[in-house]
Amino acid sequence: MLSGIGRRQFIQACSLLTLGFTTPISFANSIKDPRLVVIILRGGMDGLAAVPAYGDPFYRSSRGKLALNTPRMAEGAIDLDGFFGLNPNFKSLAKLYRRQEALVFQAIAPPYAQRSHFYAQDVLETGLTAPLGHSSGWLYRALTGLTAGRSPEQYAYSLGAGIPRIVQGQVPVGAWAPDRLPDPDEDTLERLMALYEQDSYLGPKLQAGFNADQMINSMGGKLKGRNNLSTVAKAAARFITRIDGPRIAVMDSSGWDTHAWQGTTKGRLANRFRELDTVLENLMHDMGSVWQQTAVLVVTEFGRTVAVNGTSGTDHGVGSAAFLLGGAVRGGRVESDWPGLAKNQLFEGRDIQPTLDMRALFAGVLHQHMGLDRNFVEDVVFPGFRDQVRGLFRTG
Amino acid sequence: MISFSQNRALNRFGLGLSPSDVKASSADPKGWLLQQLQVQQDPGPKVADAASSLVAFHEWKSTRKLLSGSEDSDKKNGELKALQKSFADRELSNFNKRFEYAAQSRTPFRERLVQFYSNHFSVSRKGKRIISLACVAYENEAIRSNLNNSFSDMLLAAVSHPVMLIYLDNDRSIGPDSVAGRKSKRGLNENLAREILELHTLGVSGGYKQKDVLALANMITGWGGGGFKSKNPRVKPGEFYFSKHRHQPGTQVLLGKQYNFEGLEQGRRALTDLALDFSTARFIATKLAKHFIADNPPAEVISILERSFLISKGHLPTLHRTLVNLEAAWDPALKKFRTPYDYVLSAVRTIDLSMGGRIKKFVRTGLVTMNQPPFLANSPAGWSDEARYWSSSSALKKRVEWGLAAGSAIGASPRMIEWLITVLPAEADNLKLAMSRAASPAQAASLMLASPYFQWR
Repeated sequence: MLSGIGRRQFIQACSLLTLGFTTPISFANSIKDPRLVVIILRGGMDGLAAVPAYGDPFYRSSRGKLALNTPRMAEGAIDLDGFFGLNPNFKSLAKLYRRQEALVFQAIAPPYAQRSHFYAQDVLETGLTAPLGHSSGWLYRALTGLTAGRSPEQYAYSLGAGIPRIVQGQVPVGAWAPDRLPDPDEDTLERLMALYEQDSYLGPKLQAGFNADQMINSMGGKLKGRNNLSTVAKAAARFITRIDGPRIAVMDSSGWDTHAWQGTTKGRLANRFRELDTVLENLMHDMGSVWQQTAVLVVTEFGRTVAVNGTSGTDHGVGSAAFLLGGAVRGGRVESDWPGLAKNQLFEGRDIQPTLDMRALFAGVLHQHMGLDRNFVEDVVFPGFRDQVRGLFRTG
Repeated sequence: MISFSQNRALNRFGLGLSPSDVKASSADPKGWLLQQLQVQQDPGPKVADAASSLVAFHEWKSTRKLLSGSEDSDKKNGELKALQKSFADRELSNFNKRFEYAAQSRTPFRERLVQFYSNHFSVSRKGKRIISLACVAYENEAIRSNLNNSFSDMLLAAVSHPVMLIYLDNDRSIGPDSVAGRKSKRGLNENLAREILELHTLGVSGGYKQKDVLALANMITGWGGGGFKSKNPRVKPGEFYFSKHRHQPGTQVLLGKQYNFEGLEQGRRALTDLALDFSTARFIATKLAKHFIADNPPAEVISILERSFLISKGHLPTLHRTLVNLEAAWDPALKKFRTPYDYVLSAVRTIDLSMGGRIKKFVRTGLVTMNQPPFLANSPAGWSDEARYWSSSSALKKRVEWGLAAGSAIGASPRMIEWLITVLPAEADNLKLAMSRAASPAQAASLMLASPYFQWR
């Protein structure tokens, strides 16, 4: 028997078929009712600090004082596969990796080989090689093929202040962020909503804002906390585990631009790693059994220079690392066509040469996990891009 | 009832319907704006200068270090707490003074311009606590004081200001072949140079390459803030200091042009050229048009501003006159969504509040929950000014909740509400009706501050 929502989707799919369209959802293989969480690390995470290629003969010499100790040494990296390791602050991520629920990507980058944060983030988020000023985000375009009868506002949520460009498009997605303001009284609110009915841009957004609040407060009480990754990740878990909740959650983490004194196993960057690691661990717990239907994508706009700069930090580089984790993921390996760290193997003699276009990872997630039709991915989401990383998911 | 154009002058270019602004702009709204561009007396909020604020931070840090080493742990914790509080109080007092100055200004258009350029040359205390007592002074010294000058003056003042040099790591950058560079293992840091090209002058598509970033980074090596422990009598702690010792020697090539100058002059020449570049004119014109006219401004608006920038060699008052005189500036079809800072400031001005303790707290809560606390932008690009960035459903909900709470907390008098109902323009007819039917003056004030009318300018 089909449930209410499933039935509606089914009927809508049929009506599209009879009109001569094929629905962009391909039911074959992909998991039932999948969830996707996207975490964007802004500022350019040092992929080599997160995923040290300690087996590379040039690792120690090229990294200098930022090189981590090899596994089994004091404060050494956590070994992944005998060649790559993880920064020891990623304890939970390592556990997921061993449970084969985490995939690690090294030498990955969006299709952009220069070093501006803002342009790189544009490329990462629009999925286009030359984003125009107002082009939509790739995840937004994917949404238009996924929502199956629900509005983008119901299907995807942005958590935290501001809406990342990755889900920006013609229609707003849902949004939520923690706050400390008193709840308004009913009478005033009613009068106010009457005024907003006449504003076609703001009216629906305000309504959606109050709806989201109601939704989250109905699960385990009002969620309080600072407006940071940890709080919004808790909210994300509450939202996307609900039957009528969104299926996609997007959030930001800032503070990855480590130009100075970034440290190795302790210090500025190590703190960020630990915070992210805890967030991932909590996310897994908070999602309960839905974790089995979930993929969490952790990406950054670019990496950093291999060599240490003049201030014990690293400058903007190109290739970096990314993570894909979740119960649905076929994990436990590092996906990397490793370019090497010898001077002549580096991009422009300074950065990790990217060997994997990040869009291939995104396309794989959309097709293999979210069940989005391959043609839709290649025509609408990443126009003209026809590649995807295979075998990312258990069901695929 | 104020006219359409007066409403535009007050909201689009100003900071809402403060009673004194409504009066001052009633005869000639456009003239009221233009005359603000000539004002000579605009010293900005009275705060300690940047140099002494940087020194103060340094002293604060030393005291803290000394205290942390003390053995008596009860005494230590108490004193550390007090020290922490003294720092936070000082920081807060600066931001309050800045807000108060803007809230009481009779030249709100100038305030908007100061905010625009302060955001263009954004500095953030996020992760850089050292500059946090000096941010307001930076705005006064580099931005406000150059509003009547040319863009190149402001550019030079901003990127040679110790607060900016510290914020974007240039104070740590050392020319690899300089005396200091040959002696130590430290070297170049290209952060500031990159942001000058990308964010302050040419723009990301302005036609520069990695080698230009490196050239500019080399040219401004040695630009930094005076050290606190220096024994050199010429080094004044916290003030701009050029260290020849750290400066990369030799000719540099930027955008195909050779810069064969010594020392400080090399970077200055490069910046002066960058300030007048065609790409810079286009970039600033676009940014101004987007800030004041519309998120997607008509192309011709940008070209008019661009021409004005080029012809006047970046003379800012000329450029701002051109802006006010644009036909599009008065086009009813175009509008902008207020940023949280503009929103909170306009709310306070419109209900004509003095900055009592309660209001100060409201202002702070508002800016924090709406996510635009002073000098805390996430990146050197500063804050966005686009509607889609600030009007997500959750952001809008918070803004409305703040407006409702502020309205009921201020204790608006019936006279104030009556006055507002008479002056609000025809486009706010529904709001006026709702205010006149409100159950209390507080509810009327709440409705106004939270209304859609108040979100747009």
